[in-house]
Amino acid sequence: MTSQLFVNILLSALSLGVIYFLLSSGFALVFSLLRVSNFSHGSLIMWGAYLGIYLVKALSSFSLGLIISAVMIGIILALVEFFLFRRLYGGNPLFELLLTFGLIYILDEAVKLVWGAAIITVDKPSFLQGTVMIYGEPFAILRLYIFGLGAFVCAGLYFLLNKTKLGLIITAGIENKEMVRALGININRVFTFVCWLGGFLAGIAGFVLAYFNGLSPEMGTNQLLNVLVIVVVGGLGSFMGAAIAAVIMGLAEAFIGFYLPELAVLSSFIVMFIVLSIKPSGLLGEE
Amino acid sequence: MSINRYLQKYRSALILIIILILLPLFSSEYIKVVAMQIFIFGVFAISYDILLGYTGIASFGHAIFFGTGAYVSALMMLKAGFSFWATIPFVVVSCAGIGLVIGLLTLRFATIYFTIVTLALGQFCYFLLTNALTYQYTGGDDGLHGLPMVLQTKNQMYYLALAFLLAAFFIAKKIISSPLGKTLVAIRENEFRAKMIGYNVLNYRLIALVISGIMAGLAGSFNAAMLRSVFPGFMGASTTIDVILMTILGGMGSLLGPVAGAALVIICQQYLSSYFEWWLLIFGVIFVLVVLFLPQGLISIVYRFRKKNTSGGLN
Amino acid sequence: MNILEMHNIHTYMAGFHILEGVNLTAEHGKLTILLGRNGSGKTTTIKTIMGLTPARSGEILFQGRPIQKLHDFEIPWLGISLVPEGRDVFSQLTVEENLLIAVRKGKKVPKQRLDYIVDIFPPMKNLFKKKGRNLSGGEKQMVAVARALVNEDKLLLIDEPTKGLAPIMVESMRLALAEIKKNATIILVEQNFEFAGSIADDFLIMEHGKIVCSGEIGDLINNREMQHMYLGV
Ligand SMILES: Nc1ncnc2c1ncn2[C@@H]1O[C@H](COP(=O)(O)OP(=O)(O)O)[C@@H](O)[C@H]1O
Ligand SMILES: [Mg+2]
Repeated sequence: MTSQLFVNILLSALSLGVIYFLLSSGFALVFSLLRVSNFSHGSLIMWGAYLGIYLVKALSSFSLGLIISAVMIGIILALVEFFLFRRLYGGNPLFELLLTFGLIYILDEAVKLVWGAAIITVDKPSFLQGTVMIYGEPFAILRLYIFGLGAFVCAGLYFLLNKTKLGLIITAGIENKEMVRALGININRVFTFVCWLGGFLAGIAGFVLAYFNGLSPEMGTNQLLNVLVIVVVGGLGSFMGAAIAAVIMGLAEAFIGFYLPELAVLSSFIVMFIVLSIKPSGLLGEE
Repeated sequence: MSINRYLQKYRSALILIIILILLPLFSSEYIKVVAMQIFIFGVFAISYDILLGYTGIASFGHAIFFGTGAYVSALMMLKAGFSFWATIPFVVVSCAGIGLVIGLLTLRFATIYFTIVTLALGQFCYFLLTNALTYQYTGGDDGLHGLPMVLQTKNQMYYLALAFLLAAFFIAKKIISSPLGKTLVAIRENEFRAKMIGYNVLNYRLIALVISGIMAGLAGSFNAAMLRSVFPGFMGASTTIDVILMTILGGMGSLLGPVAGAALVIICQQYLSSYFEWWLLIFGVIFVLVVLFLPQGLISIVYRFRKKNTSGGLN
Repeated sequence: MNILEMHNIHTYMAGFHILEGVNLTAEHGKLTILLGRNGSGKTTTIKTIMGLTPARSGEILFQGRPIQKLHDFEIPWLGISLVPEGRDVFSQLTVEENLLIAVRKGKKVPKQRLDYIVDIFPPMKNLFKKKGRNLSGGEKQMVAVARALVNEDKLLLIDEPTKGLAPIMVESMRLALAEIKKNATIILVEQNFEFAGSIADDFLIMEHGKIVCSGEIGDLINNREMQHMYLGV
C-alpha cells in the first residue's frame, strides 16, 4: 500500500471514529450517571436525522436545523426521564431496560408514520460537497466537517465536565450518587439535564449520519447495535473508554473493509470479541 | 389429594387442554398452523421467563439459542441424514455450550453486560448466517428447506407440538419449585443477601442460563421440524423481540403468562398486522404501560379477577 | 436542649427490618458517641437521619422540627453534614473540587472556612491539587471530615472515622475532633471505645437495631460490667 493510500484510509477511519464517538457519547453519558442503558438511543439518533433534515428544509438553514433538532431530541429524552424513568428508580433496573426497549417501538413506528418507511436520500448543501487534496489524495469536505464538529463537541463536553460545578457534580454522581445527595444536591435534576444532553448528542449524531448514509427507518436499530458494541468495548460506564473504543472501531472498520471487504460488517464484532476475551470488562471498565 | 379435589383445582387447565386436544377435529389447516406456532413459541417464552422472570437477567439475544437449535437440527438432517430425534442431543449440547461460554464471559459483571453482549452476539450470528462465506452451508437469506417429515400427518405434528408445550411447562414448573428455582428467586430478590448467605450467584445464574438456552434451542429445533424449513430470521433480532414481547406482555415470572403472551403476540401478528399499519406502535405503547404499571403482565389481571370470584386458580 | 431526637424509628432495607424502634437524643453542643457491635445498625441510623435510608415510621426532630419526611437532599440544608463510613471521597475529583462540590451557598469555599480546615488538618495544605484516588487512607479521612466543615453546619454525623487508620492518624483525628467539637454538635459512630471515651460527652449503645443504653460517658467508663456486656471490651 502506498503511504498516500494509507493516509487516506487512516483519515476515513478517523472520521468514522468521530461519527462513532458522536453516536455513542450520549448513551455512555446517560449510562454512566443514571445506570440506565437507554436502548432507545438508536431511535433518538434516527429522530435526530429525520427531524434535522426536515428542519433544514423547512427553515432552509443548515445550522438552525442542526441545533433546533438536537435541542428537541434532548427534550424528548429529558421528558422520558422526568415522566417515565423516575417511576422506576430504586426498583429492579430490569424495568428501566425494558421501558427503553418499548420506547424503540414507539419512536421507530412514529418515524414511519410521519415520514414513511421508504429510504430517503439526503442532498448535501453546497458547502459540504466536493473534496480537498490532502497529501495528494482527494478527501471529502463532509469528512472534514465531521472532524470539526467532533472536535467542537469534545471540547464542549470537556469544558462542561471538568470546568463547571455541574460537571463536578456529574463526575461525582457517576462515582457515588448517595454521597452527592448527602451533600444536599438534588441529583434528580442533574439526571434530567444529563438525559437532555444525551438526547442532544444523539440528535447531533443522527444529523451527521443523515448526510453520510441518508435516512431509513432501520437506522435506529442499526446504530443502537454500533453504540452498544462501542460502549461494551470501551467498558460500560466509562465515558473515556467509549471515546477510545469509537476510534478503534473506526480504524478496524476502515482497514478490515479495505483488506477483507466481506468481513466489514462483522468488524465491530471481531473487535468486541478480541477485546472482551482479553479484558472482559472492556478497555477502561471497572473490574 | 383426592381425585375430585384435584379435578376441582385444575378445572380450567383441564378444560383448556381438552379443547386443545379436540381443536384439530374441527379447525382449518391455517388455525392448526397458528396453534402450533403458539405452542412452540410458548416453550420459547417459557425458557425466556426462566431467565428473565425467575433469574432476573435479560437476554436480548435469546434467538441465538432458538436459531442454533433450528440450524443444528436442519443441518444434521439435511447434510448428514440424521433423524430429527437423533439431532436432539446435539441441540442440547450446543445450546448448553453456548450458554456456558456467554455466561462465563459476561455474568461476572453487572447483568447489563450480559444483555448487551447477547444482543451483539445475536446480530453477529445473524450476519454469520447470511454472510457470503457461509452461504453454501446455511443457504444465506433463503434458509434451508425440505427437511424430512418427523411424523406422517399434520394432526400428528399438532399433537407433538402440544405435547412439547405441556412437557416443557411441567418441567419448568418442577424446576421453578425445586430448591434451585427458589434460590434463583432469592438471588433475584436480593443479590446482596444471597451472597452474604454464601450462595455462588454466578453458578446459579449460569445454571439458569444453560437450562433456558437448552429449552429455547429445543423450541427452535421443533420449529424447524414443524415448518420443515429454517430461516436466518430464527436467529435474528425480530425473534428475540417477539419472545421479549410475549414474556413481558403475558407476565414474567409466571410461566403461564409467557404462554398466554405467545398466543396474544402470534394472533395479533397474524390478524392485526394486516388491518393496521401502525399496530406495532400500539404494541409499543401497551408494552411501555405494562412495564410501568403492570409488571406482572396482562395475566395478572386474570389472576386478580379469578381471586375475587373463585378460590384456587391455575397455580 | 436537644439538637436531635429520634422517636421510635423503624427502617427497612431491601425488605429487611434493620432499625427496630430507635429512640435517641443528642444534646446541643455535645459530642455523642454511638457505640455497638458490627451490624447493630449504627450506620443505618446515621443514614436514616440523613434521609438516605428513609424511616418507614417514627419521628426525627432536628431542633424541634420533624425532618423524617424531607428528601435526602433537603436535609443538609438544615445544617447537617455527613462523614460517611466509607469516606466516599470522590476519586475523580481533586481535593479542592471535593470541598467545592460540598459548598451549598456561593461559588467557592469561603476563605475563612479554608483557613479553619487547614488549621485543624495542617497536612491538608499540600493536598488541594491531588486527585481523590491518589490519597492515602488517612488523607481520605481528613478530606472527608474537611468536606463536612465547609458550610459551618450545626450537626456533624461522623461514621467510624478511625476505621483502618494507623495509630498516629487516630491520634491526630482525635485532636481534630476535639477542636471541631468547640463549634459544632457531633454524633460520632465508633468501635474504638478508648478513642471515643476520651473525647465524648454522652454515649448511646446500639444492639439489634435499637438503642439499649445511653447516658453520660463517665458512667460508661466507670462501669466495666456494662462495657463488657454491650461492647465486649
Ligand atoms: N442493602 C442491604 N440489604 C439488606 N441488609 C443490609 C443491607 N445493608 C446493610 N444491611 C444489614 O443491616 C444491618 C445493619 O447494618 P449497619 O447499619 O451497617 O451496621 P453497623 O454500622 O452498626 O455495623 C446489618 O445486619 C447488615 O447486614
Ligand atoms: Mg457501620
